[in-house]
Amino acid sequence: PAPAQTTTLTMSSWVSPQHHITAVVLQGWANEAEKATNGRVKFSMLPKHPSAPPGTFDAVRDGLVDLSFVTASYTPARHILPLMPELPGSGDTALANSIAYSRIHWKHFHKLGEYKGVKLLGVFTHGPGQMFTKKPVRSIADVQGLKIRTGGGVAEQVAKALGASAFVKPAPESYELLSSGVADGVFFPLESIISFKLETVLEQATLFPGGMYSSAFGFFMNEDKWNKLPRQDQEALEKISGEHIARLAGNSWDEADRKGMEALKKSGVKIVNANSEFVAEVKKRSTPIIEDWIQKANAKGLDGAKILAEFRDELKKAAAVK
Amino acid sequence: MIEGLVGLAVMMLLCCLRIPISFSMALVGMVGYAYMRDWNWTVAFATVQTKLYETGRNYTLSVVPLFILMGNFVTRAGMSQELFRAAYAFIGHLRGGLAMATIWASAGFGGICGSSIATAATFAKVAYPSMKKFGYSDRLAAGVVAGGGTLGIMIPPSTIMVIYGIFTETNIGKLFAAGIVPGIVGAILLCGAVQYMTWRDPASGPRGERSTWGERFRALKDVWAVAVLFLFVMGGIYGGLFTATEGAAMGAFGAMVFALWRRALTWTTLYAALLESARTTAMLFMILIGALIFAEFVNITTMPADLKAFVTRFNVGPTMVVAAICAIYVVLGTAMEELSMILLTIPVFFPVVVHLGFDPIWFGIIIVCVVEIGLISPPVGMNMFVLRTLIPELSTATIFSGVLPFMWADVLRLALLVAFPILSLWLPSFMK
Amino acid sequence: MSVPEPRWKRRADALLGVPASVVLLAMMGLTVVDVVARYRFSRPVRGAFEVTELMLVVLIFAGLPLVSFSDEHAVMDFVDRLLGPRGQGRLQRCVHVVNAAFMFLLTWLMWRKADRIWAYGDATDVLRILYGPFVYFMAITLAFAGVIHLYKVVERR
Ligand code: NA
Ligand code: NA
Repeated sequence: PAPAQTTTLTMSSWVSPQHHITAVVLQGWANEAEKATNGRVKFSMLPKHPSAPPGTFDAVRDGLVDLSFVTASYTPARHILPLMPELPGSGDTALANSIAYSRIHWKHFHKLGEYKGVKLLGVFTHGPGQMFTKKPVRSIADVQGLKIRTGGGVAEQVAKALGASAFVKPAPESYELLSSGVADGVFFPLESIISFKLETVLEQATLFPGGMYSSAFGFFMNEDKWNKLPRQDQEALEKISGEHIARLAGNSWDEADRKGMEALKKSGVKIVNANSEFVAEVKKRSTPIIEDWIQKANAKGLDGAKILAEFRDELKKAAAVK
Repeated sequence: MIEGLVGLAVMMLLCCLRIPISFSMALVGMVGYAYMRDWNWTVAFATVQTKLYETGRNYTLSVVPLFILMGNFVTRAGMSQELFRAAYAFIGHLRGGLAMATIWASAGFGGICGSSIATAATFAKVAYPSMKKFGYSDRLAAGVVAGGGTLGIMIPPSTIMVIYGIFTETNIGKLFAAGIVPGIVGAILLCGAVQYMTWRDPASGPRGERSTWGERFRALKDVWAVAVLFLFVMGGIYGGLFTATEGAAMGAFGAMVFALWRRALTWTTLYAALLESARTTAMLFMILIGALIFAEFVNITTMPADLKAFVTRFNVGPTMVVAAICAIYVVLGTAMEELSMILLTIPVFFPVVVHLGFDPIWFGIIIVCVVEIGLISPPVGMNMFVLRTLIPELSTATIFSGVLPFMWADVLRLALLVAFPILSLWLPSFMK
Repeated sequence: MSVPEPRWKRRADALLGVPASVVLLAMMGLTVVDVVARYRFSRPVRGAFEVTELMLVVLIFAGLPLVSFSDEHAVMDFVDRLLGPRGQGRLQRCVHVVNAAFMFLLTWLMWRKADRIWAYGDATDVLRILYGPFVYFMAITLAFAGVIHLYKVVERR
């Protein structure tokens, strides 16, 4: 047979090369894609991400890099619908949350074109974002005035709604903020505690069912490059996209969270499940944030409340099947 | 690799034609990027747009203008003059004494200011005129101001350490502590360079007047304001009042309070200090934006991969790898702007170094040291440009020849820091 | 240098110099207030982080025409020795033509970027400040710098 024409696509990540998103999710998907296309599509990882993290969407759209991923909340004006799986009390695992969100996205959200301009391959979320503090926290009263660092978005809104004095700083400053005492606590998924080496400066992890927040990601490709791929390669890539990516990334986040939990236990951080009273209070206080999302989804022409209910159903299904 | 080197050569050519360094880097970066992408101008333009749009929107970089402002306030409050006078009272009577006083005053100033450029700019105004008055040669006077200025980022607080710490998630507090001993070693070696220059040509650095012990203690007593400001900034950072990034604004505020209290600030001088800082900031960021556009071009050449391959080929021993990395940095640092060099190469080298089991704190100090060398290694070095801007009668050639002994002193220190990690790691070992 | 500058020059300088100075002072003040409010009253200034970023943008791009105006861009001057005073003057004019052209290219690029950012309605995360106007501001100051370089081409020296 005649040698098939090969295409090399560039890929890049705004987190470190060792981070599981780069090493497991991006690289893992690239390997699958190479196999699925019989080596006709190859990938090369850029040594340095071509933009600041929030500029990733435009970087892929403009072709500075062919494939990348980004948190939807970095472009809050463009990506309102992906806030749904970020709301408090979503999935208990990244896998369940990612699968449920992926199903809702492709069924209801995708046609509204929030990812217009790029070829969206998949969506996913990280695990439940929890509260980590330098002081013991037993009830909502202990949270009042606590200086909590968040990355903004839903997390900042929740922290503020709980009565914490919430502020936004870059994630890599977290260690310095906590060790020096500028911050009393942070909101993070378990994974980030080890990746930012925070386990030595924390005293307590307070776990809420479904977490306080999450982050929704999109993984996408430059549209021109996609359109130039031969039909058979497009089909091969479609097969390993969508929910497949949600599973790949969800599993990877959960694995990273498990390691985070181990590290926390090893370093003697107290792990506390919030009691029912505390959980109820958090739920009550975060209702306006959920209402707000419903309003915004309605403004986009969707039935926000109904979709949210459907999402919660999908969450249950995804959690049951595994 | 070859494209990257051609790009550097063309950029140097444009610079020599007197096109501003910032625009030269941006132009070559843009055209080079288009070339690498098969003359796809859409993508090249998008890269330029991205860098213009994003570089300013970077919270960490907000420390740069604030440290520059702090330097301006400190000088207007008379504190840099006091530092210089105190250092002069002790060693001014030695051969090259004023030059060595400039170095120790720069080191002291480095303790309250996080920017090398601000330090060099300050002593261009404070020490350079004195040295001229005492008949110092242009070469020595310019070289020592540029060289002493580099201490501003080794002695904490430090802009480069903040940026390195945030990019590599290394503890900034420990980095700050780690810089103190290498900073003092650096000051001693720079004094050695002064001695070498005045030994070769005694007329270039005549002796000053000897001060009495009474004068010396009076001069030393004046330095208390600097000490207070140092304790305020460092105490605030270590005490958890504010972060290292916020430390720049707090330090500038503290310096402003001192300037007000000493009645050194009127509306006119306040405006002058702010305006000058704003202009210096804009000048620096234009170079940074140009350098980052250039770095994007280098990023898609094979240069980063080639450098990594080159480094890892030294698998005879980890120390050789580090030595190779240092050599690359010193060479790159001659022609690249330092911050963009760091931003481009840290993702390539940091994982290699950590993987080999080296301490990230120690590597941070090595990085600061190579940046210091880059700041005074011709042809592209910010400290030299600052001097050139502030003292128009100095020619680039004079500055270039004047900084060389100081550059070699810094290279020697780099070797010491690589050979003896304890120099960097001793002080932070006392921190939890 | 000691010749007093004509009044129009001082006014032109103040047009961007005053805003840049005010922004720099405000940048310092905002952090101080944020630190004190967070430490003393547990009430950090909401969105201080993103406002600082926007102020840095204004500072840099308001400063750019000032740098062009006062000829403070970092340059290398090796060639000066080779050329006589007349040759230097001619070269400088040529360089300013290149600078002006480049500034206008950047103006066009930034204006297009601004259009897109504006169309998306991109805004900061916490305070929802629109980015669009800031990007238009960048384009305008780049154009301003271009005009200054053009002026330097024809300026009598
Ligand atoms: Na310093
Ligand atoms: Na250099």
